[in-house]
Amino acid sequence: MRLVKKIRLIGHFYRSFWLLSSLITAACMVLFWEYGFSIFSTLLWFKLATLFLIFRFIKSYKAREFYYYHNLGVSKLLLWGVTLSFDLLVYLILLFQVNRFR
Amino acid sequence: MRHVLEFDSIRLSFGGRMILCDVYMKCETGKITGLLGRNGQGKSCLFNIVYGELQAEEKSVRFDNVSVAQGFMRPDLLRFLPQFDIIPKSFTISRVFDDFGLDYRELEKRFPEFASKHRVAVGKLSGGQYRFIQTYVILKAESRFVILDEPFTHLMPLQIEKVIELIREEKENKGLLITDHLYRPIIEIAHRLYLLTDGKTHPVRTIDEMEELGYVAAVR
Repeated sequence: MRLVKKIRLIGHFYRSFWLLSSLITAACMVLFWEYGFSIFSTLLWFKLATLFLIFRFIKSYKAREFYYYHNLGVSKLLLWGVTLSFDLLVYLILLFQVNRFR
Repeated sequence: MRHVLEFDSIRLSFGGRMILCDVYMKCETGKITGLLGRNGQGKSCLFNIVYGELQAEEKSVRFDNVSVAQGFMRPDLLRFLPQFDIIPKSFTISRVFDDFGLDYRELEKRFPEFASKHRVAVGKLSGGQYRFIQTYVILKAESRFVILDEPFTHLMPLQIEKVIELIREEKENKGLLITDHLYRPIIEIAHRLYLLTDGKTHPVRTIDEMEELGYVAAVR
């Protein structure tokens, strides 16, 4: 399967939780703006915990759709690995940007 | 060239209850293999094990004598339609066809009820059309083997006929492994039949043999 198609499928999968995840990231950015690095580890754990909850929820809520991705050669590991890593990376980049402009 | 999918040595139990213990099935390209069995005998579990979705205590799944533990990682070898809907409901039909590398115009030409519906989300289709689209893409997409778990569910008799026609056509290009509670069409189209009962598969040929194993009497 072409890489573009795989990226498109992963993108669609990410859309199932990006809004909730982005709201959590935005809330963390506001808190980081207020309190700075003193709460960085708390915010990081908070983000990781919410990602875990999202993972658990989507894993059961979308369980049947994973067969669609599998039939196209996209494994659960790839879906979760790429989307969660991307989400966390964006989160860290945004926090560091907030710190720059504080 | 003829290709073979074989699986055996499969053991599966839930909470001490043995579900599958003595299974052997062989599926060849160019042929249709049917699996029959009453509710709760483990047909879907068996297919999920072969596809790699369900972990068994033991299993051996071989494509041309090469062991493949995770069939779902190899859509070139195996595609699987489970008994439930798998396409995300927001996807349009054309998007699904694009994902599977299929030509939508071919579907329109053969099945006029889908004419000009390429931009319709699959979730907006009737239950029968939704199921039909899923069966169509899984059957038609390139692969050596296809497993269909209850492909006739939610379909009207006319749609069932169309699916049977597609199955007969596609067996020229691949090996098909099918199960459904509508056992008559399966018996009619299958080249090889197995009956799953008490965790074991039994090769069967006639209705009488099935009756002896307690299957047909239950649905006659």
